[in-house]
Amino acid sequence: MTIPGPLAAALAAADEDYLIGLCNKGTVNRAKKDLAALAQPEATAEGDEMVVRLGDVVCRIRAPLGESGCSCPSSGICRHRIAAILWLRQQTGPDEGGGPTAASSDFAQLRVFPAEKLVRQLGAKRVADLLVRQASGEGAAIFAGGSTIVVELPWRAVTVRLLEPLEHSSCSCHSQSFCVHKAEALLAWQLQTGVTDPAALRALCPPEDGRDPEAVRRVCREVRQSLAAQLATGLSRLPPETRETVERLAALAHTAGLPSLERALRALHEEYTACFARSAAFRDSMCLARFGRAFDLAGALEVADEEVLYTLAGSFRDEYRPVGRLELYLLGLRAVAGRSGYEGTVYYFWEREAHRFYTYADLRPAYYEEGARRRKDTVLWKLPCTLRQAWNCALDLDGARVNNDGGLSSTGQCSAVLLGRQPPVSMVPQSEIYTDFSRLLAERSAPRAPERKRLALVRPARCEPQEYDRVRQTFCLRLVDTAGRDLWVEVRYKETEQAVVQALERFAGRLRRRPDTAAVFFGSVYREGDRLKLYPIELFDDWEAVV
Amino acid sequence: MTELLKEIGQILGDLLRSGLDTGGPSAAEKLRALSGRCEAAGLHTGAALLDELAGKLAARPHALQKDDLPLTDTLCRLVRYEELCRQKLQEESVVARWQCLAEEQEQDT
Repeated sequence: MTIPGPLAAALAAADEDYLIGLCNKGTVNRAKKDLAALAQPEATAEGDEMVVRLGDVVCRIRAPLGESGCSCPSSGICRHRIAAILWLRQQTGPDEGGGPTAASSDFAQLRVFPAEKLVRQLGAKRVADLLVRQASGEGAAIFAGGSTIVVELPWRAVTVRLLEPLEHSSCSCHSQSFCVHKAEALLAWQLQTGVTDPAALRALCPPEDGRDPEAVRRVCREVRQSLAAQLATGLSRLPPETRETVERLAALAHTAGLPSLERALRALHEEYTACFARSAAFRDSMCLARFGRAFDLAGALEVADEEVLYTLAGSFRDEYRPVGRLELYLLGLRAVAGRSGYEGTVYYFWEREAHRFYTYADLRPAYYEEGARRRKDTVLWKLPCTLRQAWNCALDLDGARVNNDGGLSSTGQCSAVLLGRQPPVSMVPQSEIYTDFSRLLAERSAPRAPERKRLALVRPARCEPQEYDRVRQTFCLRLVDTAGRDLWVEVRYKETEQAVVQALERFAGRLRRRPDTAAVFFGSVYREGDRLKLYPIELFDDWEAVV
Repeated sequence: MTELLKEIGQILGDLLRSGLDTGGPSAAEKLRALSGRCEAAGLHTGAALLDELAGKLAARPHALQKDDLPLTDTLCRLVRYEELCRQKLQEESVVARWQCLAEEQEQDT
């Protein structure tokens, strides 16, 4: 039998892996069985292709093999075509010109595929995610050999088989087209083989989809001019409709892709609303600070180059980035009910390896629900218990994702192994507990810093319970360090703080009976007037043997 | 120092309330006076910013084409400066209070 040259070469290069890449393993196995059961097929050469008759169906096998045709209605590579290819490979055995031994490919077509096209298809976020995964060693699993490259993307639960020509590659998502998984797999392979490098990919990523620099400048200019005009008139002469003007500016900032400016303007809108409603809570100083922040930010954005603009503009919602494995310890939790209408529990974790805090916020909107309704506790990360039950337990979290504020994602892609309850003294090194309050003031009390930057474990030399302030409805406890510096624990009584106040009162009672009771406080530090204060999240009154 | 920063905050708040058209000319004089006190207290940046704002406020009524952007810019920088000073002062007041406590403790012993 004479097989046309290009087809003979394609058949010789196509080993079983290549055929599996064209369709799947099941189809190849089925084709082998069919071929064993069939009578001798008939084959004739027609131009550059071979026409193979297998019982009732007729296959036209041509190079590249992925473009072969079949008389059956299947749109993909069917078992008939695979059977025909396998039969043709048998006919061109080692004794007939060259043999079917598949030569190892150097994947030249895959190497020259432009990274720009892949970045355009994937988008900046997916590319950034892929780079972080590759750098953290949790990237794609790549097995290259023979005529195929098998790329497993565990975070998307797909396997891609890259072939030459590229359009005949297959993906376990069954997409016939060049899907995002194939693009991601190809980029991962190009990164691994050094065809492209992370720096080049970052340079190719657009700073933010859909942000037009001219529109940004126009909006910022309008914000500045509008705020300057408001200042020229003065708050006392401005009409109440100014609130709507500021809200309109916030909407413009949103449309221009400037979330941080939008937030600054919405904060100013709140101040204007309080001012025009003659609210007792309105303060000139706060209004002025928010006015200045919005004006300054608009000015900085107006003159910013692309890179600075990307940083200043902020992001509309938190992006969770993979950070690999985290060795966590659940230090404490706190019930919250914010003015924003969200309520729930915030869990505070200590990372045993990197010595830093992480949080997980289990918050839900409460404004749809009338009256208090008890919600079920959260079960996360395939844990065998609720997070509340894991209090003071160590856990290893694989595939963790974290946002910029140190918030952990609840994604089902990560899983945790519970290591059991441990005494905190074995989890948190002594050096991480603040005993010197001047260090606490310098390192953990910066005004306007996010809560995570103000979290601290504090061990005072002594605690002095104070009288309950009935006028301010506030519980106070004075903590004193060895040098006589004090730190005030203050909790104002309200419904959500009832449990906290009761726990502190019990502790104060114990203190009165045994003034030498040693305790470690975990909470967030802040300044008020000339005092350093702590909002308590957890109290360990016997740190060494708390379990 | 606390009093000085409070007065700066007060005058800037008044400007926001009354507006540049009404409160500007009268504020310029007060700002110049505050600038001198800032210089004496060692707040050189604050003194320069107050002087700059006072100059722009004084020149504003005489300008035919009023461009309020540079003036608002200076005012916002001053607001930020005053905020940073207050933060620093608060930190120092916490430390000062601790020192007082330590001295009292020493006297008691």
